Amino acid sequence: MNENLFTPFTIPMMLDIPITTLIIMFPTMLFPTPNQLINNRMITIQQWLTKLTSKQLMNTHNPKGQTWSLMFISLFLFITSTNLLGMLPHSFTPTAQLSMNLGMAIPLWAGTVVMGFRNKTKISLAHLLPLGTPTFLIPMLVMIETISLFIQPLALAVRLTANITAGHLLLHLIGSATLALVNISLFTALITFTILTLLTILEFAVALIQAYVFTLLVSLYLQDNT
Amino acid sequence: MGAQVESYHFHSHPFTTPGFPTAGSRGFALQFLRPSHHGTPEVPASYQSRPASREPLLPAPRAHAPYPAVLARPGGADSQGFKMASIVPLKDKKLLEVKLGELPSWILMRDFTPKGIAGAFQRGYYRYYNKYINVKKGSIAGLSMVLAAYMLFNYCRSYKELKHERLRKYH
Repeated sequence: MNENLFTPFTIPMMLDIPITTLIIMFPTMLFPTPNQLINNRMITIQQWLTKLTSKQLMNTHNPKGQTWSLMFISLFLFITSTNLLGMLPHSFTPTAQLSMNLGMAIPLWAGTVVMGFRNKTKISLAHLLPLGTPTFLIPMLVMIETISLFIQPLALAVRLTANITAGHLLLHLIGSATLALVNISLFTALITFTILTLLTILEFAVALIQAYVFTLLVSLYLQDNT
Repeated sequence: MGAQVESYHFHSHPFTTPGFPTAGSRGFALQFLRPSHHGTPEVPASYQSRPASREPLLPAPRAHAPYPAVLARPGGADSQGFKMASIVPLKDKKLLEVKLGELPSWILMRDFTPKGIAGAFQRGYYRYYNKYINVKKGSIAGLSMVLAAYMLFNYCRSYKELKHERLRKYH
């Protein structure tokens, strides 16, 4: 039982060759490039959603921050499509691997911090101390704020990993529990209903992408504006 | 321009039977409103003759030369007793026209360089895309088939671990 629970999270192999890269590149096939003014239905829907999302994400930034729009939209699309494809049975979710999420979080966070320190050094350093602290607390608070700054990429990565992994595990567990309880019909209806609600709640894995990009956005926002 | 017009007449020979008007640019354009003869549409010579369809602006890389007119001509049009198998080189034939005995040599003649393989993937992708998705009234079936194939692929990939979860006494 122990081995079965985590086998969906192992590296996908085909004939003993890891095909992780192929699976990561699969969502790109689902986003064709629009090459006309009025495209087919799939591209039109994608364009509408992208426009909606990008407006929502980038309207709080000044023009300097809006140069990051392409980065944010591609990040958002990648995480959304990968998580949603992971909801299909038997599929592999790359964003459930901590290595991948750290690889996304650390460079992006570091980019925003370095940009803030290069362009507005004094203001970035001033962020390390909240307003109105008593004088004798200043050294300790600076240390705490520095630690909280360095925790940010770790929190971003671990948040995404833990949510996706926990959701998948729960689905596996409850699904197998339902199958085991099928012979005892009293609880079956209750368990299947739990599965149903859990599945819909897990569809809000899409909301996780919102959380991911929004937190990233918040840090960039702070660097550029104040 | 004249030479190009001639070449299009040469390629789309089956449409120029006496029943269809062939003279003039309007008649020339009418040929393109018929369903195209091959799987991938060709880019026409001028924009005036381009129908308002969803043809890709760039043609997909071809696996072989444009379809030889010798094979496109309806039988007996020029009754000189042509042997079709001998006049078209093996490399240019499509798979369904290759005789069974020529099959190994046909396979070996295919382009297995990285560029050739990438071209094959691109052709396959655009073939599916132009048939199911890049149409005027695409439905959810175009996307669902891709997702179903992805599911099947992942099932086959993880079958080795999955077969231990069957309800059996002995695995």
